[in-house]
Amino acid sequence: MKNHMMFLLALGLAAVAALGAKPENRGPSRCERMNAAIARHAASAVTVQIFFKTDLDEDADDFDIPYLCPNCNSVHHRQRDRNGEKPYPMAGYLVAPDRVLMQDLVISSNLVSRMEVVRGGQKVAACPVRRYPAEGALELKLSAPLPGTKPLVFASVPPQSATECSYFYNVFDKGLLVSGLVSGESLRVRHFADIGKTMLDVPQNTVVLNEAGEAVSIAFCSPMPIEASTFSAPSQWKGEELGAGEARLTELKRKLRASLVAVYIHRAEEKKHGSGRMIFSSSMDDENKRDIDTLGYALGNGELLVPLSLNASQTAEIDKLEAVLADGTRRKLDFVGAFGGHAAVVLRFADGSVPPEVKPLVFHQGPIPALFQSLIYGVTAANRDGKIALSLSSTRVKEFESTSDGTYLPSVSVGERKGRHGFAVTPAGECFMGFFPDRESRYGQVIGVPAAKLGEMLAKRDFNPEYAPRTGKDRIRVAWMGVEAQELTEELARQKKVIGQLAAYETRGALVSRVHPGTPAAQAGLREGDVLLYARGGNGKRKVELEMRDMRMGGLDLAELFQHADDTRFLQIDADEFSPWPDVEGGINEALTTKFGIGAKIIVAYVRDGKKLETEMTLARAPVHYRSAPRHKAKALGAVFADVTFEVRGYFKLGDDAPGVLVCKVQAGHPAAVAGLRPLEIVTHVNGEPVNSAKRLGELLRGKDEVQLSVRRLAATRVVRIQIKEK
Amino acid sequence: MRFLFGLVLLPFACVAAHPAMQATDFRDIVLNARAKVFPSLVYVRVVCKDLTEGRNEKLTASGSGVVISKDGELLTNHHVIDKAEEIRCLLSDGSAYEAKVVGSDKDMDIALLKLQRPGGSPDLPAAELTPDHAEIGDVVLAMGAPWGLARSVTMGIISCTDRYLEQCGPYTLWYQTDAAISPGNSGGPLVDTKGRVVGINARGNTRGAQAFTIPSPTILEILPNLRTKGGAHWSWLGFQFQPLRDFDRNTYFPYTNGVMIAGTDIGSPARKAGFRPGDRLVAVDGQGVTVRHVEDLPALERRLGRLPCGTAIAVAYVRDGAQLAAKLVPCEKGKVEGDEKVFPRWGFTAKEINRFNEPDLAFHAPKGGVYVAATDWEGNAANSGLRRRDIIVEFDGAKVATLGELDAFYQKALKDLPARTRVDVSVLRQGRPLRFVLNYQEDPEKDDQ
Repeated sequence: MKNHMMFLLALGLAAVAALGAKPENRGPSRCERMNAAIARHAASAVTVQIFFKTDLDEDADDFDIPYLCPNCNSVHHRQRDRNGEKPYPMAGYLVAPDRVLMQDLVISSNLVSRMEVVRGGQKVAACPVRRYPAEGALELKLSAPLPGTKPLVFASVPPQSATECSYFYNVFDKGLLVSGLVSGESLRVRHFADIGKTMLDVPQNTVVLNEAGEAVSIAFCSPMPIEASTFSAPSQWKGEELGAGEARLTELKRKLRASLVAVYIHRAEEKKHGSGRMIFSSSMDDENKRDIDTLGYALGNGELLVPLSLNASQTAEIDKLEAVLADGTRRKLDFVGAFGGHAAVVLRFADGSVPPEVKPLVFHQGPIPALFQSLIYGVTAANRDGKIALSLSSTRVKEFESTSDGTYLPSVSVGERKGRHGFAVTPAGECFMGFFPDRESRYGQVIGVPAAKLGEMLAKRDFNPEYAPRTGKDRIRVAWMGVEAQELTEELARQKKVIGQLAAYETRGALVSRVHPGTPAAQAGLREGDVLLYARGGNGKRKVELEMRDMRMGGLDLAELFQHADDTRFLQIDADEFSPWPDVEGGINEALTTKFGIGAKIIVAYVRDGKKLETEMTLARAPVHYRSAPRHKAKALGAVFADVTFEVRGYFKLGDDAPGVLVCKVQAGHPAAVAGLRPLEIVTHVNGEPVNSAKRLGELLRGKDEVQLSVRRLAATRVVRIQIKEK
Repeated sequence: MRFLFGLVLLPFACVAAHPAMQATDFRDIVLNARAKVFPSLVYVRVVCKDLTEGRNEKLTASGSGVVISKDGELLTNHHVIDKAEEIRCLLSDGSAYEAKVVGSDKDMDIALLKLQRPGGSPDLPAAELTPDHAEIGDVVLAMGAPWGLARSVTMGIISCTDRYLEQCGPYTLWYQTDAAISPGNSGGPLVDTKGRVVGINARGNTRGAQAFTIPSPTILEILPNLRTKGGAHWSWLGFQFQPLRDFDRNTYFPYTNGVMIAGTDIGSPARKAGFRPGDRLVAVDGQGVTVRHVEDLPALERRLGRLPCGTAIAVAYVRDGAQLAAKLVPCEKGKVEGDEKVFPRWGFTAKEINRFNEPDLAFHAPKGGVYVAATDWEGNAANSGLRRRDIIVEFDGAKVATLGELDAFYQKALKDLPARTRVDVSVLRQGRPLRFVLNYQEDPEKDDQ
């Protein structure tokens, strides 16, 4: 302190002397002043090297440290996975011979293996001893004094105004410890209307200097509330023992654990048809599994909110729902409903009584913007064989990202790996956002949903009735309006005068190529040649673009196939994968089913003669179609047959009463294959008797050791005799 | 499978009767056989239209042929001269002439050409087409121009005399030989040791020693029609047959005579007469019919194909154990491939749907019509979304059923350029109606200049 005073005095003298010599010079130049300030504080600047543990298991807490890079003035991230052995350098300031202050990374101490304080090629070990939560600082104790360093000395003279301060910084830049000075003149004071606070854009990790160049505080957060302890010396800060923070974290985890319930879901082993299609995929991969280990967030009313990315048909296959409690006991769960937009379902403890150890997850009530600058935790949870694995990632909210529905949420790192689910909480354990796969996104993108919206969703119980466990044939659910559509090419869009409207409604549109009579679309007056734009439903809240893409057009060309495929290749054809008729479950029906469901009232916007029109209709259940048609697997023949449904009849030009059963699959080497029966053929007669259903075909085959089938492709017919050998 | 071969062989007169064989050097036999046919061997070069790219393109191809009459008739394959605009023939004496097609049959892959020689030209050495059937093991020489290498002779034996090739025309029971035959041999003769032409080489197999030859007795059956009527003029009843015994498919019908009717073609005399799949045809015109194996099919097809058109014939068949009789009136089979035309500005080749060539398209468009046979891969049609095998239903709001109607639209479109560059097109793709706007603003020929 004394030295500093002396220095100041000297400066003053020099100024006076200069004044005497050259009256027009009123003091040292800006450059000289800056040099002097750096010289005064530079000996306090050190680098803290943090060594992270490398043998952390998958469920250990995570971290993601966003920090403002002084070099490029943008936010960078430092994450566990990317660190490896390499130490992470952070700026630190010596405040006593054996004490260093650094920015608190708010990471769990069990992630860190050791810390070192480094300067000028010298290093000593250090360990954290105290936290300053309000200032975001961590205090380290050095095992020995570091040669060549000198602690900061803090003056009691506060600056007159924030913008007249200077800031002394210290960074580890390109392998060198660099100190420097930021002049206060370029700094900004900003008012944040969302939070109601005025804040100063103080550079992060800098020593705040007053006009005289004396240290008055250290800024570890940016920006800082102007009225807070921005300009107070660390000695006046309120610290807490390190253990206190750790204890809080442990308590937070315990609390969260009590709100999470391991959930086991089983999907019935169904035949592949009708349910094998993936409507959307997601990182969570649920749709490819029969046994799903997931988890639910306990709600106040004995219900669980479970992120689950199954489509309607897959949800229909659910035949077992269980909660696995901490002691391993299993409790039956009931299905309550599924949300249409976000891939989440609500389940309920079957007997209505919630296990006492399950506590509801508390939802944060405050506004999201108020979380600015506060500490938050991203929670990643997974069900590991009935046990909840939990890891936290702490971060200070420095920025908000816009979501697909236009709200802004803090960026949090959670649940990115498969089988993990995530949400984010305040230090008090209040959940302010959850992450769910988005049903509307083509790629099953996982998006954040603010607590307020979750609460609204749960309160309104706006469930999509299409998503529910079902049995038997009822499992295949397709909502339709009754049209076939084709892709709207750009030329067609121009011809139909809809280009502008497509852009305005962000849809690619679909051209109606056929309207089935007696369907909702026919009743609503849709006609061939109309251009579909979008459909709205759920009281206008939900909207889906009605689009067709090129991949839906054409399908398999049987003629080409028969001409070029040799028998071996042809036998591999699976009518479930390739079929030349329109796919009733795909295209716009897929969108309508996913978004609205059977029986939903929707408004369809379309363009006719260049004019946009709207029509109302109630979605019907699609008639029995290829994928939902009853089947017969003739094991002795090695072939699978299906009833011919309306679209298959259309393709083969089979009249409504014409007999026929479709060959879906033929197993190579089995009697049907040997006899030359091929997939995508129609069997019209068995031993001369007309056959109208797969079931009837099965009856006619029973007990026979040779059958004669009348078979037809498109135009060609033939007689197939199959010898059935008893095995 | 589709190769053009030309092969020439000069049989040296050397007769090898079985008992006398020991006396004659085998080399002499071959040389004599070669010497008999080699002077009649023709190397054929054609310039033909290539419409497969949706553009008016041309290509040259080579094949072989054999002179069968002193006045310059020669045989080659139909596929050698198909879509040819210019046919040039090089004879063994070095003289070269253009040739004109006298008659051609796609089903048999045979074409009869006539060399365009000035009047008073001397007689040409003509090869003899034998009416006798070859036997397995017969030593044969293949003559022609494999890969364009004129005047090549290779040797092998007849490997099989009754090969049935399902995809290669209904009327031919092929000779199979292991004489080396390559693209360019097409249309060339296969010659026995007596120096007689036993067949015309038509198909090869690049992967092995199997080539296929149209037997000369079969050719002789249709030669008069080729000569006088310009084609084989097959009659058509519209039956689809299956043999009584099919080892490959492990299918055996418990009958000793007749042929199983697999089905009938839409609109055919057989369909009109009410034949159903599973009926068994046992007699035609009072004569019994039996197809025990697939190899028996071509003979029956030829027999039915040569029935006189327009004259009712009696047929006997068995349905559900009862023998029934019916009258059928064969009609002209007509064209087996539709005409095609390129519309360069639109960037596609349109082709008439032919029930024999495109049965599945004919199924979707039973009244006939025009389809997209090829598109220029970066042309206007392809860019507008049209694809190969799209059946054109409507053009500019009007129904289109023939190539002529489409051409009228095309001529009008060219006239209306540049004021109008778009036209609405409705197509059937896989039986599904689709619409497109064909934008032909781009001029494909502009880039070429």
